[in-house]
Formats: sequence, structure tokens, C-alpha cells
Amino acid sequence: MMDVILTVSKFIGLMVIVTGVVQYTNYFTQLVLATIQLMSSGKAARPDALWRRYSDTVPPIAILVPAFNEEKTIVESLSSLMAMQYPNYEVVIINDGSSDGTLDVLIKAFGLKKTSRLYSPLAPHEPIRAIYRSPHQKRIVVIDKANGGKSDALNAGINVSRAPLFCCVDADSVLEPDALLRTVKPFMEDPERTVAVGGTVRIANGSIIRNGQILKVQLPKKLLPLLQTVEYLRAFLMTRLAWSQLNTVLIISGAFGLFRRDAVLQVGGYSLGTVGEDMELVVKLHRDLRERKQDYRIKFIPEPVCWTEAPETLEVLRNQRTRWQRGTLETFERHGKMAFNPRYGLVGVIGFGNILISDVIGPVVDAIGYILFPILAITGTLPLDYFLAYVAVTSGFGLAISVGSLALEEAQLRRVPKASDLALLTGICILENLGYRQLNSLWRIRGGLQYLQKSQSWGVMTRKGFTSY
Amino acid sequence: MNSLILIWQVACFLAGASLVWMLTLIALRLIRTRREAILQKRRDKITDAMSRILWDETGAAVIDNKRLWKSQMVPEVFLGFVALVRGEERERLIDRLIGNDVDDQFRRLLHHRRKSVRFAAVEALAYFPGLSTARSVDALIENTKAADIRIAGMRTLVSIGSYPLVPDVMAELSRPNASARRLQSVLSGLALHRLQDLLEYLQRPGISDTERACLLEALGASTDYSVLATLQAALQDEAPTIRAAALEGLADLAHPDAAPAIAACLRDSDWNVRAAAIRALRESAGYAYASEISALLSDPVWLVQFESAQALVDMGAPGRNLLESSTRDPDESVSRTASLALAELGFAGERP
Amino acid sequence: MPAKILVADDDRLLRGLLQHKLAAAGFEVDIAEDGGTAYQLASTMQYALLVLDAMMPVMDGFEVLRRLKDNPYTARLPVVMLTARRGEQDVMDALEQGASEYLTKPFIPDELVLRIRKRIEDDQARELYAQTQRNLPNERIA
Repeated sequence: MMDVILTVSKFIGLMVIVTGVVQYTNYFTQLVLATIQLMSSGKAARPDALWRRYSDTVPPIAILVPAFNEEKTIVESLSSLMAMQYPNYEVVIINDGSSDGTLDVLIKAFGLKKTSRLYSPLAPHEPIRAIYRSPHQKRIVVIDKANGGKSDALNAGINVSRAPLFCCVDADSVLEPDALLRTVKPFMEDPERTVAVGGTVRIANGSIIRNGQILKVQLPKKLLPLLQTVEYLRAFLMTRLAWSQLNTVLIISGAFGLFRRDAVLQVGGYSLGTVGEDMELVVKLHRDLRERKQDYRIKFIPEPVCWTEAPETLEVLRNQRTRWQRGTLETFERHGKMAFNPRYGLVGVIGFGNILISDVIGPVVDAIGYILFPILAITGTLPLDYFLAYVAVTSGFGLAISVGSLALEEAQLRRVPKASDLALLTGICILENLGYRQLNSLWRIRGGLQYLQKSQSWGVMTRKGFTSY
Repeated sequence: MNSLILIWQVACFLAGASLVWMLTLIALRLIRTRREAILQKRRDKITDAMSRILWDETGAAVIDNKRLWKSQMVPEVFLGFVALVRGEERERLIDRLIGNDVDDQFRRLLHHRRKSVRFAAVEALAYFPGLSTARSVDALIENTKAADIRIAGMRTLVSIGSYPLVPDVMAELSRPNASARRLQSVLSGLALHRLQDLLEYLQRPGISDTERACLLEALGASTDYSVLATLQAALQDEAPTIRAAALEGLADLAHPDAAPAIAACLRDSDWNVRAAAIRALRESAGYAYASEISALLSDPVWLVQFESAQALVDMGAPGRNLLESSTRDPDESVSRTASLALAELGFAGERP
Repeated sequence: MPAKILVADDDRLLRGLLQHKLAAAGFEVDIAEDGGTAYQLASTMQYALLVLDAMMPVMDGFEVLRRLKDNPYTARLPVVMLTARRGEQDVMDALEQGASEYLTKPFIPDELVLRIRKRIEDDQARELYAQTQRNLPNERIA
């Protein structure tokens, strides 16, 4: 009996170690790729230089802003969107059946009038009740429609908008004034092939924001947002930048992304009734373009374009993470046939392989390790010193990876304001390994379980507003 | 026991190395913060000096701080000024900079190790025409690996009137990461001043559709009506991108003689071509083809519908009247489009 | 008393330039660094004219213009748009909303000063004219 237990636990222990090694090799590869990419792209141009170089030739963009119960902030958001540095764009706000006065405050503040607009219902969505425009500000369009969730609202926006490119933005994200000029650059450099571009999303907590503008960048003062700052740096500056190099970016954040309208319409717009609609769309684009054997690029630019408020309480953060996990698994299931399928090239191998390792198997193995090792250690099956050594070596790797992404940020972008902030972030990198990482694995498992149960609470979630959007 | 020690060693090494790495970065940051403050101060000084030149209508102020004008930031600050003012002030600024040999310095900065400096320098040289500028920009284009700098160089060459060779420009198109849209302005400049070279290249066998499309579009900027025949012939091409590009060129030329050939494209099978044809007709035919354009109000593609409605509105009273009467068309799709368009463009006509 | 002009632009360079140019031309100059401040100043103080940029933080120039024209107290404040936006639609929108002039950057400083002066003189002349008309004996108007 004891023998069986010993063999099983040895096997599981080996599994844990093997996945650990695979995960960290994976991270190191990303770090190297991201470094190469950042080195070759050089320092970002100053905003006035961007305007000088590109303002004459850039294509029109439609900014799509889905809004659900945003009466308190929507006027300010729209005002700051109108002040973006870009020569020709329109802002399309989609009031997704809000139950508060979102539409009324917009009508009042911008003197909107009901009009009609030519459009074809190319992507599916709930019926549009009315389209409003400002007689004076021709760049403002407001769509009033029945509630249908974020994907539904975005589809309506895609149909009604006219520009060849559209940019999806959360109503509560704070954009850098030159965000559009920066993200449009890949479309200018490679107009035939580029279909979508994402940019770095940063955490706004702690920074001074007034009237939808970042006045002063500061690190968050609370622990949870600080931990997420390091996490975001790693996710954007390392992972996405690395995958961009190989054209295998699988996710462009819903908080900010620039897409070619015709390519998105070709796949029928956003899929309705999904949790992770931002990821699903990008995967769908990859799939469609690969199946039609098109040469295409889905790019990611390292410069920060958008600032978002991160959850400050454990509960909200937990809900966010379980929702992300559900979205990932859902996309994985829906497009599972792409995984390791040579027809889909690197996307199938690297993109999906990555999800498999870090989102499907990773959390489970992590959890087993956390539960099993202490038990084995206490019962004496596993020598305590080996257990401690294992913990030490994984933490060491974790630290090296986080510090590596911090170094990338420091070498190229330098948006961390002060030297003392850098020191603080280094401390956070160490702290992250003691508890936060484990908590994250737990949340992911929770998300996985919810996904398996096909939780019925999804419909309600999408109606809660932004954080749940 | 050995493996245990090894694992611990790896762990300690990783943690230690990361911490040392981070400490180095923090130290470097402290140094850099100080350096940046110095650079910012110098930038402010350059800005001040240039402002003084701008305001100094008598030309009396003496600004000969040789070290200041040697800074790598001068081109960038200069570009900020020329993006703001033109006329007498700009001329004065350029004259005084030349007086201080700043243009020599700009040419030297073309070899600077930082790309952003080279980029700004080559753009700034567009305001300092002359043989030596042309020569150094030529050399830069020859030697640099960065496509955006080469294209910036070509734009500079066009604006100082030293035109790059057509094959060199076209070679950019076939390289990866070409910014075709930024090249278009170079090609337009060539169309205006080196039309024969452009036409010769167009005749070459084996050039790609992308190349031909870019060239045809650029021909519109030539202001030379002798290219009408070339453009009209391209309307018969089998590739829709070529037909659409030729229409863009014809729209730029806006010559009424091309109108019948353009009007024939209103019935093209590709909607991009149809939309381009409407735009071109708007430029070159006044309201002669109003009824043909109004036929596209029922086009299956909404963008074509919109273009036709917009074109009719732009024609003034005759077009608008046609649109008004279309709102009573028995064809549901025509009347709907017409009334929607009138309402959208701010004129009455929306049906109850 | 010199006429007072409000300059709203987020570019330090331009603010410095205009301050110098306009002061040399005999105007008094106030500065706003963003759209929100511009609207606030324009609606609380009395200015002879507003020089307005389009792309500014907080509130863009077009929105400032719209609000000024909607406000009965500021509807008649002459506004000169001075911006890097060159689109036809932008120009027409601004003029339609009641901007008096639309100049694009790069601009000719002397031209701007001339236009501003002319605008203010025209306004004064019109007022003077209206006053003399009012003061005339009734039968002469009839």
C-alpha cells in the first residue's frame, strides 16, 4: 500500500517539476524574444514628431465605446476622447440599454439630435432604437440600442461606423492623447497585411487623473494594485511582445485595440454570448485568415496607450480572474481544433500550446504541488530539505522573470517615474512569489470549475457594467 | 546530497543575479535622471535661443553659443518651430541657423548613433536645400538599414528639389515594412517634376500590381493632361486595385475629358472601383452625370450608396433636387437611401 | 485701454510666441493651457477675442467653441481657431459653429496679428456705427 502511494506521489511530483521546467523555459524564451523586439524597435518617437510624420497620411478611425450605466462618467470620457491627437476620427458611443440616464446626460451635454444613418447590419446585434448626432460636433455619434452585452454593443458600433479601422475602448479606460497615432503605425508600415494592433495597458491606480487625462504617473499605494502592476508589465511587455514577434498574439485587450473593419466583419464581428470576447475575436481572426491562407499580421506595440483602474479588493480581483480564466477556456474549447494543427502554423503550436501549459494544465499542477508537497514533506515521504529547495528554485525563477520584464520597461520605456519606485517594484517582484502567485492559481482553478459547471450566472454578469464588461 | 546543493545553488544564483541586476538598473536610473535633467535644460536653452531669433525683428540679438548649436537636440527643436510658424519668422530662423553653420551640424548628425537623432536631422534638412544637403542625404539613403529613415530621406530630397531616381523609390515598395502611404507623397513629387521617368517605369514589363497602382495614383499629381490616356487605359485593367488607383489619379487631375470613361466604371463589378468612380466624377464632371450617379443609390454595398448620395448633395441644387425626387422612387431601396442620406447630411427629406 | 485677448493652447512654444507677438502689437494677453480653463476664463472674464487650439487636454477646441456659442453671454465672443488639424470637415465644422477665422499651423504670425486687429476694429466700428445711428434724430432714419 505504502509503495503504491509512494510511486503515485513520485509520479505526481515529477509531473509538477516537469511542467515547472516547461513553464519557466517558456518564460525565458519570451523574455529573450521580447528583448530582441524592443531592441530592434528603438526608442519611441515623441508625440509631436508622430503628428508631423503621419498626420497627413493616416486613415480615418472610428473609436467605439460601449457604455452601460455610465451616467456619472460618460460626458467626461467623451470629452477627453474628443481631445485625442489624431487628424480624422469619429467617436461612436453605444448606449447598451442602460437603465440610468446615460443617454440623457449625453443628449444634454452635447446637444445631440436624433438622425438617421446609412448602415448595413453586417454583424449581429440587438435592435438599434435610434442614432443621435451632434449638429455641431460631426465627429460624435451615439447609438441607443437594446441591452445585449459588450460584444453586441461593439457589433452595432462596427456596423454603424464608417472608417476602415475601428478602435474598441472601454468607457472607463484613460487613453494617452497620442494612442491612436502610435497604434496606427503598423497599419501604415504594412497596410496590406496588418489586421489588428494592440498596445500596452497600464494600471492607473495611484496616478493623478483629471478630466480623463493622466496628469501625473505614480505607482499605486495599495498592495493589490502594485502586485498587478508587475503582473501587467510581464503580461504586456514580455508575453505579448514576444508573441507579436512570431505573429501569434492571441489576445488584444478589450480596454484598447485597433482593428481593420473589413477583416472583423469577414468573421462576423464579435461572437455573442462569450465571456472573453476580446480574446475570442483575435483567435477567430487568426483562424479565418489562416484558413483562407492569407498573409497577415496581428501586432502588438510596447508603448503604453491606455490606463485602466485595477481591482483593489480581493473579491473583485478574484471575480475578474475567474472570469478571465473562463473566457480563456471557452475560447480554447471553441477553437480547440487549431491546437497543434499544422494548418494553423505557429498559432496552433505556440499560441495554443501556451494556453495549454499556463492556463489549462499549469494551475492544476501548481495546486497539486502546493497541496501534495507539504503533505509529503510532513509525512516524511519527501525530505523537507528537497521541498524547501524546490520552493526556493521556483521562486528564484519567478523573481528572475519579473525582474527581467522590469528591466525591459526600464531600458526602453521608462514610464516608472522614480528610481525609488523601481526599488519598490523589485520588492514587489519578490513578494509576488509568496502568496499572490498561489492565490492566482487558486482563482484559475475556480474559474476552471465554473467553466466546467457552465455557470448560469454569465448573463447577469454582463449586465453589471464595466468591471464585468 | 549533491543534487540538493545544486538546486539551492541555482536558486540562490537566480535570486542574487536578479537583485544585482535590479540594483544596477536603479543606479543607472539615478545617473540617467540627472543626465536627462541636463538635456532638458539644454533643450530649453535651444528653444529660448530660437524664440529670441523669431522675435528679434531687427536681427540685432547675438546668439552665438557654438556649443548650444552643436547639440543633438537642435533638429528636433527646429522641427517643432517650423511645424508652428511659416513666413517671415521661419525664414529668419533658417537664415540665422545657416549663419551659425547649423546646417553643417545637421548633416553631421546624419551619422549620429541614435536613430531618433538621424531621423530628426534628415527631416530638418528639408529646410536647408543645396548640393551638400542633397549629397549627404543621398549617402544616408544608400547606407541606412531603416526603411522609415530612407523614406524620410526621399521626402527631404523631393522638398529640396533634388529628386531621387524612380527605380530607387519603387524598390522601397517591394521591401518589407514599406510605408506605402508615406511613399505616395514622394511619388507625387516625382510626378510633378520627373513625369517622364515615372511613365518610363510604368512601361517596364514585370512590375507588380502594387507598384503600378502607386504609380497610377501618383500620376494624378502631375497636373499634366497628357497622362489622361495612360490613366484611361488603366481603367480597362483586370485588377480592381489598378482600376481604382487610376480613378484616384483621374480624380486628382479633374479633367472633364475623362468623364465618359470614368462614368463607365460606375457599372464596375468591384464596389471599390464603383465608389472611386463616383469620387472621380464628382471632381471632373460637375453635375453632368447626376442621373447615372443616382442609379447607384440602390447599390448593394452601403458605402457606394453613401458616396453617391454625398456626391449628389455636393452638386448643389440640381443634385439635391434629384435626391429629393428619389425619395419618392417606387424602388424601396432607392427611396430609403435617398431619404436617409438627406436626413443624415442635414437636409429635410426623412420620411415620416 | 488695450484690448484683452485670450490664447488657449497646450503648446508652450506657441503660447510664448503669441504672448510676445500680441503684446508687441499692443494687446493684453491671457493664457489658458487647456480647453476646460479656456472655457472657464472666457465665460467669466471679458475678452475682445479668443485664439483657440483644437487638440487640447480636458476639452477639445471644437467643444469649447460649441459651448461658448451655446452660452448667451459668450455667443458673440469672436473666436479665431489656430490648429494643426487641416481636414476640410474640421474647417467647415468650426466656421459653421461660429468661429470667425480658421488658421492652420504652421501659420504666419503677422497674418494672425493682422486678422485679429482687423476683427477687433470691425467690431468696434460696428458698435460705433450702431451708436451713432441710435443718437440720430428720429426723422433722419425714417
